Amino acid sequence: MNAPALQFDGVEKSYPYFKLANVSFELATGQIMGFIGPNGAGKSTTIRILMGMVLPDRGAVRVLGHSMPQEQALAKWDIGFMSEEMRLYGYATLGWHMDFVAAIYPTWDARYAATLLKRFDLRREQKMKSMSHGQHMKSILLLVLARRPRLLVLDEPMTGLDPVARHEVLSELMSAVTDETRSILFSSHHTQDVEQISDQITFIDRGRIIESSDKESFLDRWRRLQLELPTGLQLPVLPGIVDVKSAGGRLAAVTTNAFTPALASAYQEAGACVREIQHMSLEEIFVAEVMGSRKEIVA
Amino acid sequence: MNRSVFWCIVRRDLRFSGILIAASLILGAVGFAFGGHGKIGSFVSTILLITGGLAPGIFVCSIFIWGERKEKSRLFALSLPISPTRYALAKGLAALLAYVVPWTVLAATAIVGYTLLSVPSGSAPLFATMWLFLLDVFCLFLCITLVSDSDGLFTAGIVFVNTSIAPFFFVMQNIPSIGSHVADATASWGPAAFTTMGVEVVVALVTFTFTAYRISRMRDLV
Amino acid sequence: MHSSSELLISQADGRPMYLQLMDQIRRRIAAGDWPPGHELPSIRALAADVEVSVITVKRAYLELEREGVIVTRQGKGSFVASGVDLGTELRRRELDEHLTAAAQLALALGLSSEELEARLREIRDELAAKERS
Repeated sequence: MNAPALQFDGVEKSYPYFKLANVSFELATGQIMGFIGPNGAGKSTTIRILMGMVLPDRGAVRVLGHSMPQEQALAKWDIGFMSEEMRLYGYATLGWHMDFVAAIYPTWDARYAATLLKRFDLRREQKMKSMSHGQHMKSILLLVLARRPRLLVLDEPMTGLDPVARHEVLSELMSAVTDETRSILFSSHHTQDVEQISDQITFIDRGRIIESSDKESFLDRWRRLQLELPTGLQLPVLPGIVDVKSAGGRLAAVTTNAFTPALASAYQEAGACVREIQHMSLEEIFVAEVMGSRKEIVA
Repeated sequence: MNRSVFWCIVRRDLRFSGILIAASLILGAVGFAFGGHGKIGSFVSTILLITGGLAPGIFVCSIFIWGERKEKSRLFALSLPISPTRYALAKGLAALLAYVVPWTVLAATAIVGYTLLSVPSGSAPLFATMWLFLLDVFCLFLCITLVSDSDGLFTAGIVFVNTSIAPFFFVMQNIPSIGSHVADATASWGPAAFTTMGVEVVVALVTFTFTAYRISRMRDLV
Repeated sequence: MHSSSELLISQADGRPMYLQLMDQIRRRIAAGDWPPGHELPSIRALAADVEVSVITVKRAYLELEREGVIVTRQGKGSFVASGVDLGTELRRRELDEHLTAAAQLALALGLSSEELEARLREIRDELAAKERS
């Protein structure tokens, strides 16, 4: 299992008001990748290119060893795709869809599908148009999960799901990768979920990949230092500082994406007292990163 | 393996358009029944035949092709192991079959009526040119729904479908060799009729070719 | 939802997940639930059980091995290290961590060693009184 599950190499795509530039990243087999970024950053476009639904202007995409979009029909036998925008046929029932998918894919697991029906609290006989948004999403997830595909590509799978449903879905995703031949790429605004189950995090903003690395080292590089300064002290300008917030008077909070113990010492040597060195949640990192880059544009 | 998904989609669309296919056949049959019963009978017959010969087909395109794209059920279909081109071809084929099967049945019924059942065949040239015209209108509409993403073009298509029949009829009726002999017992097939039919067949073929060409050149499908 | 290993990662806990996991594993070992030689769940199984990424579990196992708390045998899995009174050792380490944190805070507050000791004694007395009642 050495070949990556998917590979983007220098992918570019231009639209009138948006450009995806030099997108390159890779997902190793058996891993979960969390794909995050602000609205309009290019997540959905990237995923569509991944699925062969959009032809890039430049660059190469390989999924499960197949070139996309040319070999997409072959690749999609092993890919389970779900998007928050996707809809099933309104006038058909969930049961019809289950039979439809089961007839196409030889890997359909009817027993597992029945289990998921119960866990997601869905009914076979219900017509899709009479379902709530959350039920519709769960139905699509059921169809995708019951096939046990080698690669799951999920574009905002948690949107519209209540906390119980989200938990069930997370649970199913995690049990999928107990099989190390299976991989998952999912995009989500729920940074908590991404932080919890991702092995790798890929961060996109304004059509560019800001970051694509393993979660632990990514989270490890970020810290917030709470400093106490004697009045009138100017903080030294140090590399890797993303933001400095003055909390009035003598307190300051410094956000860094390149933390080393030497950084804390540098501040101490400059005369500031380091009261606390805090780890940051993915949500805090996300906000700091995006706000930081937006300030640069304005400045 | 690609082919089985292709046919699953075709079969699914055909099954769900069953009602529309039936409607086409029923309207056409009733239309034939009204034919030849005086002026009002002919009028009603014409309306029913035109409706039955076109409306269901337009609905099929609007619901199963255009509607599905708008509703994003297309994303579901594209997640299946099929290329977007073959998917578009499957949708096109299903819509075409849903239209052409009843169209052929009704055309055959008319032919049988005119030749074997001694229905006065004066109206045959008009029927033939009209029937092929409906096919052309359908093909154009199918092309628009398969190939374009533009709401404007779709609306223009609907408008065209609704407003083109009357002018066509008007023109045909005023061509002496076609329109003047409608009440006759035997048909008078003239060059006007054959030319018109020839043009109509060519239009259908050109539309097909153009549609197939555009489908094969699709770059962004969602 | 109770996982079968009954290890829990809390999002509300501010610490990194791998540290929480290490803590929980150490506690189970210290309590005697996982005796020396006991086989730990496979990385993937534990990840699915606790609903935490595989990489986090890997890191936790790696750090625990570095500390000598567990031993990983290539191809066989990870086992609780055999050692006398690992429980007590772990407890002592935990105590040291708490004392270090307390000492740092005392420094920040400007307390002297004597003041810190006095405060510690006060707290111990309070605890003892509560237990008697």
